[in-house]
Amino acid sequence: MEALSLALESMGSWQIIVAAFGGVAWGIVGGALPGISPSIAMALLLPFTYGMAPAPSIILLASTYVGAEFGGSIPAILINTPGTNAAAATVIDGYALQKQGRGGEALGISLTCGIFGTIVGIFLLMTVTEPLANVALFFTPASYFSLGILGISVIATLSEGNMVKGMMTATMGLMIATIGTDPFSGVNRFTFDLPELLDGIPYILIMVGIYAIAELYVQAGKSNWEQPSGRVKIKLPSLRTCRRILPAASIGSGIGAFEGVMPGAGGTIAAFMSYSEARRWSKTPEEFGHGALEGVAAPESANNTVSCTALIPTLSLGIPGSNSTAILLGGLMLHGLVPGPLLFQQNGDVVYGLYGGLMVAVVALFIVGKMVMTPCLWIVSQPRPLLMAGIFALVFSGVYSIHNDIFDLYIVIGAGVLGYFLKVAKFPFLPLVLGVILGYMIESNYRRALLMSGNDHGIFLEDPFSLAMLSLAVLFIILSLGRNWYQARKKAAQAALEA
Amino acid sequence: MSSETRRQLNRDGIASAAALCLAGLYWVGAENIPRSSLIGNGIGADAIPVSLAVALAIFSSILLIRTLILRFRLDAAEAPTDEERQERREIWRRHARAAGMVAIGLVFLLILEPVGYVLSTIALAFATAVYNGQSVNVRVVAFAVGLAVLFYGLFAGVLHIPLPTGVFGGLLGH
Repeated sequence: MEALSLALESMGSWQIIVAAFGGVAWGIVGGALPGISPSIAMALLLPFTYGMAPAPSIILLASTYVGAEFGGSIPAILINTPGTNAAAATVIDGYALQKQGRGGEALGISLTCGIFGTIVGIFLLMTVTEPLANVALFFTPASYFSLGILGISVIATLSEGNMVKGMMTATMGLMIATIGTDPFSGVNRFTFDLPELLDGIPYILIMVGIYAIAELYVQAGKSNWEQPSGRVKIKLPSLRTCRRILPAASIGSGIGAFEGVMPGAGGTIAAFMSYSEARRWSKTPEEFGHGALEGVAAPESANNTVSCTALIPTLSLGIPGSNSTAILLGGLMLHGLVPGPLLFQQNGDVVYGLYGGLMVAVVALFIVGKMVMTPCLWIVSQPRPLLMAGIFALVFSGVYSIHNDIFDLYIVIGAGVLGYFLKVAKFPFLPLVLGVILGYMIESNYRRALLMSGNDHGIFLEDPFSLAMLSLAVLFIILSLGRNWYQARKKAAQAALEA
Repeated sequence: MSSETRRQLNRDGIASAAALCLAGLYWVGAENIPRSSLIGNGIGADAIPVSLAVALAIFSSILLIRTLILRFRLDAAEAPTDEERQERREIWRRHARAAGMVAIGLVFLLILEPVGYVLSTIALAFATAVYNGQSVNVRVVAFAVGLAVLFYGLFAGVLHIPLPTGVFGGLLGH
């Protein structure tokens, strides 16, 4: 109850209102642009949060995430091109509705269910996060080290592509984190006598490069997307329609709640699972694929629920489960905020402000979602080369504004090239970003634990939390290996059958 | 085996070999990290880097060996079809376009300080738009100028970020 009252109190702050409305508006526009995922929209904002107070900056990022999940459905419904990965399931029935001349109705359902999903997600976020964070009160340096290892192992094993690739990028991320002056001994590591590297490479630069710049490089080789035709006005669903889509939206939110907390799952899986379950439980499953309203309701409520529940492991344990929450974690750490129980004790204003800000984001989603449709369609209908030029200039200007140092821009370009190669070779990004973010936590706690134990590695097995988390990490790796082996066998058996 | 599988194996082979080289170089760098007397018997600054180099070498070796095994199973005599050659050309065209974007970014960084923010941003926006297929006309020039002025107003005017003024700024007494 205290969390709720503090959250409600923070809703009156003008900075929080501006951040929530601004984030939602930016998120909708960013999500509506094919190729700009929620994480890219958030990464583009990161440099601007540098000089802001912690609470508004985190609300700005979280609201962008919420807005982008709805924004992704706009091109999915209108031009058969999902703006975000999570909106891919919305294409199926959303575009079918658009072809029937009911695109406005589909957008109205997407908006309504997005709001429904966000409300469910905020409720879960407020009730589950703090108790989970309190578990970390019992953590020692050994436990924190093992938590970092568990987080990276889980993300690496569950990431797209194979497990070894995930492990490789995670290791590269940890390597990047070692660059700079060692805080324990004052020794310089991998600085190549460059004074700019003494403080290490700020992860904001890696994130902007990996997510935003790499995507621009990829987009350079692609053809233009389809342009929306005519004017579309959002048509909010009637009470009767709301009653009809409520079961599908509830299924979506239920699955979204579960998937959001699971590392590596994210909105895309939740959207497709909820689409499939909504069809299974529907009284008219034959309508799915031909313009079923429930086919839009389920995935849209699922991905918006994920945008809030994905914050639960991020805020409570500092382990982000998706690209977007990794950026949000980066945003928290930019302001010196460390996720976990201390975040609630020392920076309660930020956490409860975030809850309040997300509530404002719900209102903003309703108001801005309706208002922004016309400018959004205008932006999407602009030539792609101009949009790319605008984003390129925005990234460079934003990054330069952080330290007023051109060296940062070289790092961003380098990170972009690395991200491009990883994309081409189908290596997952998230383990690398997580390695960069968690690198310091893992190394410092490893060395602290060994200082306490007199260099005895047994401490990691004697501490019960540490032992439990290392066991879980091993279990995840074994399960992932088993899954890979099973899939390879199945593939080989199929190939033999076809031969 | 499909052409996409073959291409993916090639990419995996190159990526794992590159990662193996990176692990070697990083290991050499880690071995050369000096030991500080500040930490006494504690774990040195080189401990984690050395472990990471070994870990990356192990993971990339696993991927390399797996890729080589799968690659040897391929029918070596199978020549690529015309369609595959076309696809390959298209992929290289995309890489070349990406390299062009990198070059535009690097040129922007090189001219940013001497030329100043506004002019270099106009050049960046114009070059990026034209490079990505926008025809050269008044609209693209107006867009580049408008964008640069808008961003200058936002960053220098609203956010008070000191942006490079370049040689022209010096002439104007900035």
